[in-house]
Amino acid sequence: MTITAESVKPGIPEAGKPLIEARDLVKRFRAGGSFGHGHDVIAVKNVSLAVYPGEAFGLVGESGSGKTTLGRLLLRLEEPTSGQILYDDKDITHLRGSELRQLRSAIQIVFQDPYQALNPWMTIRQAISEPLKLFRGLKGAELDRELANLLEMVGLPVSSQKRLPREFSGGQRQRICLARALALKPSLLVLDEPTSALDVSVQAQIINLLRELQRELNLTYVFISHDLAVVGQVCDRVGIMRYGELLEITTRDQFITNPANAYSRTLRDAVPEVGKLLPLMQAQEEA
Amino acid sequence: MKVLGYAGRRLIWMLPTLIGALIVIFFLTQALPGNAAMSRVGQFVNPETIAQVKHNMGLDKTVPEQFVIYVGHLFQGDFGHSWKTGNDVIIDLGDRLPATIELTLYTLIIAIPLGIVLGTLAAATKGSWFDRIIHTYVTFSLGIPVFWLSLMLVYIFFFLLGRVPSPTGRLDILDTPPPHITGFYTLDTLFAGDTEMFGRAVAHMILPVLALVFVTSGPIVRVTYSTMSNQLTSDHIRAATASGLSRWRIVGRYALKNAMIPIVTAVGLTARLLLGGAVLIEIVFSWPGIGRYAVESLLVADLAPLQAVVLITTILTLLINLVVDVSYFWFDPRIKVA
Amino acid sequence: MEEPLLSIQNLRVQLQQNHSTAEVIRGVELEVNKGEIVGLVGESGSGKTMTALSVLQLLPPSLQISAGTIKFNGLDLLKLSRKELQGLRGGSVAMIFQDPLRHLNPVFTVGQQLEAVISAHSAEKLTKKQVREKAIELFNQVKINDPERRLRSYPHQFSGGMAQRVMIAMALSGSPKLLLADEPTAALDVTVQAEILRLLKNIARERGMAVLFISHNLGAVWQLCDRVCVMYAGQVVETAATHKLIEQPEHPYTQALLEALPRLELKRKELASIPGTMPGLADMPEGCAFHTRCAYALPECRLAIPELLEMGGGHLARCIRAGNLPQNTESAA
Repeated sequence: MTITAESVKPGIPEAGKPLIEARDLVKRFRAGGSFGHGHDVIAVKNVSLAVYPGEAFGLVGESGSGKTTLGRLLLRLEEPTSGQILYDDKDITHLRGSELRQLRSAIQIVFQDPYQALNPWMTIRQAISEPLKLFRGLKGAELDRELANLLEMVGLPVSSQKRLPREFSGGQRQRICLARALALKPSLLVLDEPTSALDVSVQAQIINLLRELQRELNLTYVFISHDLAVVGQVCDRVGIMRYGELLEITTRDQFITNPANAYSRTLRDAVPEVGKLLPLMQAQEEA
Repeated sequence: MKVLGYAGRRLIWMLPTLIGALIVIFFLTQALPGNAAMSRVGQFVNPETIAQVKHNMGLDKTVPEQFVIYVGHLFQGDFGHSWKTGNDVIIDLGDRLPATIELTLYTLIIAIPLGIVLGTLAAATKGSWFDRIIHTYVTFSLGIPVFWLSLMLVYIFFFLLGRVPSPTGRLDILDTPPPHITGFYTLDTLFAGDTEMFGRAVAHMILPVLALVFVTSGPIVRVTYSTMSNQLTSDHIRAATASGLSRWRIVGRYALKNAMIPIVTAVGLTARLLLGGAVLIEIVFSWPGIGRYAVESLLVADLAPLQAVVLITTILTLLINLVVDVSYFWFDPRIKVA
Repeated sequence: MEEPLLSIQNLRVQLQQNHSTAEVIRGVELEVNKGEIVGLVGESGSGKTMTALSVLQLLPPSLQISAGTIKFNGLDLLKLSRKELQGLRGGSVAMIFQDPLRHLNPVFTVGQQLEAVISAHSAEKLTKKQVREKAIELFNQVKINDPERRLRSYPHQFSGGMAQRVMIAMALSGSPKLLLADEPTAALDVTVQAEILRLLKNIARERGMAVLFISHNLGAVWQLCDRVCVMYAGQVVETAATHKLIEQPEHPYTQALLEALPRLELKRKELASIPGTMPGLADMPEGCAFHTRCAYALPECRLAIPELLEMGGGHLARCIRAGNLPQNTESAA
């Protein structure tokens, strides 16, 4: 089912043109087998979507839905098997080399596991100043200032820079990853389950931080998550994926109250909420 | 069956490997110092005789030519002729190969279960005095040179205590070997009905096997210990404990089967080393095995036996590797033939 | 008033680390009555999993139970012999774990593992056929289709949800009176999670089996549990009937936790986050463990660890200001 750019505009006032657009993307992986045996896994099946500047676009689905692969494709961490990706009207589908590197300063990613995303042997200063040095050519006092600025933006004390990742908690590490991603001044931030590995109270901190940063820096988010409640708090529009297909794009409000697609409804109805018995549990309670 | 197909493919791939090994061996042995012909007849002979001998030995042809002739003979089962022993190499091998294999097999039959059991018990009783003893055992097993150990064993048990026969080979000096059926004296003596000689064959094996078991069990214990330690703290073992299964079952079956792949790999390594490296044992105990055969031929540049031994060892190594690899399919159902 | 099925009193667990010891469970009080489903809620580091592991003495060697009693049906579990403990495990008290695929032995078929457990817990010796039949019956109870084929499969051929059903089947084989469930749905997809929650509830009600449901997911706890205990920094800080806890939390931590929960609702709000993080072993505050992050902290909070105060109707809260906190209407259902 392909969804054209036109059909997804609702809810975005002066949408203008999309910041990033996927057109009929397909990603096929070859699993197992030498000698030409082995079979294909189609992780992303003909997905088209558009994300507009300044919005937070949620990508939800269960395991195997392809949402993470789609996120990686948008970043060009993977190359699609077929289809097109357009960033700011430019075709980035097959970028290589230095052009691809330039793209990196426009689109950045924050991963799920803050315990694995940071090099345990690099201090925070080293981790964040690396992109500052390489991409923005900063050094000396300018570098120090920008580093302090970034740390403050994510709510970490400037003294953190001398320390190693292991001295920080999960939530703090996630902040460090954010600072590192923001060092390049990206316009688009892909967040792959950024709060899934965090406790509830810490998750709340990070969600608040993400919303604040989006406002302050005018960022665009592609927020990948299986946690619908979190997506509901952060995102404006939501794309629901299953088995590699993009089933529906809807506004967040619509998703919460009345999603069109049956699977979307199943998903929403399965989220265990405090104070509300799930339809599934209700049925048997009445029995 | 997929696994059979896999094994078949591996066997076919053995051939190019063997050819490659042969090429390397052949050309390396050519580079050995020493004139093979001169070794044979001595250096004080006149040049024409040397040239004649060289011609008889086929050494005056070009090296590639010699190689082709050699391979051709191999296919006919002709491994060449050892001018040192005066026999065809294949006859020599018929005596010496079983000698080494007999030693290796008995060592492995004892060392493998011993290593696995000790390693498992040590891992299961981590921190206990037993665990510490096993660790000391491993340290010594890995650290003590096998020839020193052999000499010490001979000194203590033969020389001082007189409990074992003298280290003069597989049988007493005055014994004639039993009729050759398998080449394993422990079996052939039984086939010949000679129980006294059987006793002597066993007695002669005690010290060398003891020394070998001691040094080869160490690595096996170590691998078993480390893999089993990992397994015993794994999630599925904790769940099995929570379900009330007996400790024996959990350690000896549930954990051990998971640990087998690294263990089997280490055992394969040990087997390969035993085949090639039993030379020192063979020297101390005057054991007429292929290790000594190769070394002695090397020292006098008797090339045919040398090449044959390397060839045999290569084949055995490849076969051991194949057996180890195929066993993986049996131990871990997640591993599938590609 | 019937005796509780499970009664944990003043449980203390110590961690041995490089010649120093630190207390990770600091006096836990917990009760589960017959047929009751109790939730044990807390964030990572609260000690909830360790509390459950203590019941069957499955703690790793570096953790030791240093004080307290754990009584099951009047039996003091900490004084059992090895054989008695082995009989209890998987028998009257069974346990299921998080991430079921890691908790099943990868090199044996699911049938072999299930049948081993069935044989271990049957009073009389069963024939192979009887064991096989019992295995199929258990698979039917946990709603696994095509049981004969599934029994011959290996764990890696199962999805997470199916593997959890297998674990539940194994747990049920000994007809347990108490099921310890350590985050059984945490690693599962949300739709699968809902099914497993329903399965657990059905089985518990049908068999009159008590469940101790450990989770960090308040939403899941609400679906399943009759009563909830909230843990923080190695102690139980509040316990109450589920609906009471949600409507009227008496401990500041519980309140804050409920306010920090993102809800799938139309209203977008600034999530009330709790400043700071849960104290680690090394920097446990004096007195009340939560006071350094608490919005209602008083100087007195630093003086001593508060007792669990009775709020009426089995509602207990470990706070000197319990009963006098301003109730935040937003946290109500």
